[in-house]
Order: sequence, then C-alpha cells, then structure tokens
Amino acid sequence: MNDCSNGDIRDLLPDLLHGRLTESERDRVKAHVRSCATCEAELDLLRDLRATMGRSPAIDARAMAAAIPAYRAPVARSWGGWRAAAAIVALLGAGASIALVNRHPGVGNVAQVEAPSSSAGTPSASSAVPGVVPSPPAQSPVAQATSPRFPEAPARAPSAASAQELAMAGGVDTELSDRELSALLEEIENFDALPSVEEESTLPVTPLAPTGEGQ
Amino acid sequence: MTDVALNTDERTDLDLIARWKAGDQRAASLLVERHAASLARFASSVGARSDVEEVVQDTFVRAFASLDSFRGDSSLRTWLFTIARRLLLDRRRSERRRGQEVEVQEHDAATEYGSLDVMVADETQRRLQAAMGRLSPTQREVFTLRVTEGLSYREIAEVAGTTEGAARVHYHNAMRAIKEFLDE
Repeated sequence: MNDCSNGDIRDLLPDLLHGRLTESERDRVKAHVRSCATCEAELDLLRDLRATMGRSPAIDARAMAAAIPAYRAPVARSWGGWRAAAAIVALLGAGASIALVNRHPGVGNVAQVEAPSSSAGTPSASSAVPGVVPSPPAQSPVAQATSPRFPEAPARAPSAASAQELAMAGGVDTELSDRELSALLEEIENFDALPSVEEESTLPVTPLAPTGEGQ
Repeated sequence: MTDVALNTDERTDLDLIARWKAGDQRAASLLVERHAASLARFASSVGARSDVEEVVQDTFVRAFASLDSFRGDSSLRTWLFTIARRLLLDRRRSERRRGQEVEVQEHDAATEYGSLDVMVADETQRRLQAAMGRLSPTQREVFTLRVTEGLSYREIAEVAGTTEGAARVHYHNAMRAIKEFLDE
C-alpha cells in the first residue's frame, strides 16, 4: 500500500473520520479522496482500525461516577493572616519573657551566673541548676589576661540587691545564696505545676451497644 | 481544523463542570459517562492490562479533586488523557521498582491485544490488531489518540509531552509500519 504525495490531505484523514473538519476543509478532503485511490484506501484502513481499536474494555462507569465526591470549594489561604498570627505569637512570647525577667530578675541570667573559682565555702549553683556553666579550672596566664570574668580577687557574696542590679545590667559576677536559690527553684517548680490550658473531658463514657454480630 | 462539534463538546464539558460545582452530582456522573470509555481504550492501548478500570477510576478521582486548577486552556478530554497517561507512567515505574517488567516490548507487543481476541470476530480485525501490536509504545500511543480518539497533533503533543511535529512523525511512521505489516 503506497502513500499519497499530498501530505496535507493525509494529515487530515483522521479528522475527516471524526468529523472534526470545517465544511470547506471537509469538501476539499472529500474531493481529493474521490480522485485518489491511495487516500481512499488509507481512509478505509483508518476506518477499520478505528472500529477495531475503538472497542472499549468493559468498565463500570456508573460505579466510577458514584465514587466521585461532591464538590468542595477550595479554602482561600491568606499569607497576611499567617503573618499577623506569627507577629502576635512573637509579641506574646516577648511580653512573657519580659514579664518573667521583671518578676524574677535572676531567672533570665541563670545561665550567665558564674561562680568564681575560689569561692570556697559558698555552695556553687552550677552543679544543681541545669544550664549553669560550671566553674572553670585554674586558668592560664593568657586566659586570665584576656578574660575579665574570672578575676583573681577572692569571691564576694553579693547581696540580693546587688545581684539583682547586676542581673538587670547584664548579669556578670553574680551568685545566688542558698535561700535565693531555693526560692528560685520553688518558683520554677510552681511554674511546672500550672494546670493545663485544655480541660480534661468530663463527658461520661457510654458503652457501645452490642451489635449482635457473631451471635 | 476548527469544527463546531468539538466546541460543542467542550462547552458541554464546561457546563457539566459548572453544574457539578454548583452541587449537581448528576453532572459528575454525566462527565464520567462521557469520557470513561475513551480513557479505558487509551489506557488499554498503551499497556494497561488488568488495571484498566483502576486507572480510569484514579484518573477521574484525581481530575475531580483538582478541577479548580483546570483552566480550560485545553479540552477536558485532553486534560483527562494527560492525567491518565501520567498515572500509567507512575504505575509502570513503581511496578518496575518492584521488579515487574511490564513495559511492552517490541517483540511481544502483539500479544498485548490478546485480551480483546474474544471481541474480534474476523480475520481482518485480527490482522489489524496484530499490526497495532507491532508498533512501538510511543507510536501506538500517538496513533491511538489520533485515529481512535480523534485528537489533533497539538492535543496529542500536550498529552504526550512532546511537540506537534514529533507527534506527526510518530503518526506517519505508525501508519507506514501498519501498511507494511498488512502488505507482508
């Protein structure tokens, strides 16, 4: 079976088969097919192929349609809303932090409180409070020269007022007394004991009625 | 090629989509009934075997779930074929990963249509089936969309992710191969 040299017409034969041509195109192609045995044979072949291959495997279209859920309009997402929510959370967090520091001046600086290395006789908070940097060992001269945090002078036990002052000013060379430390730990334990925001369900549990299955 | 029937079909699809979005579930059924057979034929022709129904079902589920993203740039039919084709490719990939060689090879492609034997009555149709079976998967895909479903080269290119020119070449190569087989 040969091919017609008129490629444009051959290209349109499947469209003629499917009725996808305009009236003028259809007339032009039909006129050519009437005068061209090759294209007429190709059109017949296409018709046979379509009939053969056009058989659809058995499927249950109704069952498929039944599985299609009802339309749900998409929920509009606004980035502005997310930004506002994030800003509110950030503000609340910052406010809570400031309030906490104001109520408990030492809390915010616990991690920065460092006991002097030579504070013998004064219990160090470093071993009891998580996050506290332990006392460093004896420093090299270079380290001593470059680090003003560990002065050679013996430790002094600052008063609560001065410790608070130092804490507010950035927290250097401060140390908590036993009493202050106990009070602080107590406060922290109280924080942990705060009730959950979500109330526990008080709805009575209704037992399931027997279904009768297996009886 | 600007035919009225096609535009009417597309309008009908768009009307049905609008009705479904307005709460008319019957419109979804009509859409499925309009396109299920074509999708099943297409899935079968490009290698789906026992999972034809599953592929068609998945195609509709995915299509309806994302109909809001259907802008109507192409016809719904073309869009559905594109979804079905991607689903089939995904399935073939996952099957290959599981070690199942399912891609139709040149030498055994003729057996692809064995399941249709019962429907094929005469020798001519059997020979035509055998001729189709000799085509490469790409040729068969393009030829099916062009001859069986009546898609334009532009639509075929959209479905197959290729160019109109490439689709045209695949179609004519397929036609030549079929003629050669029938002339043997």
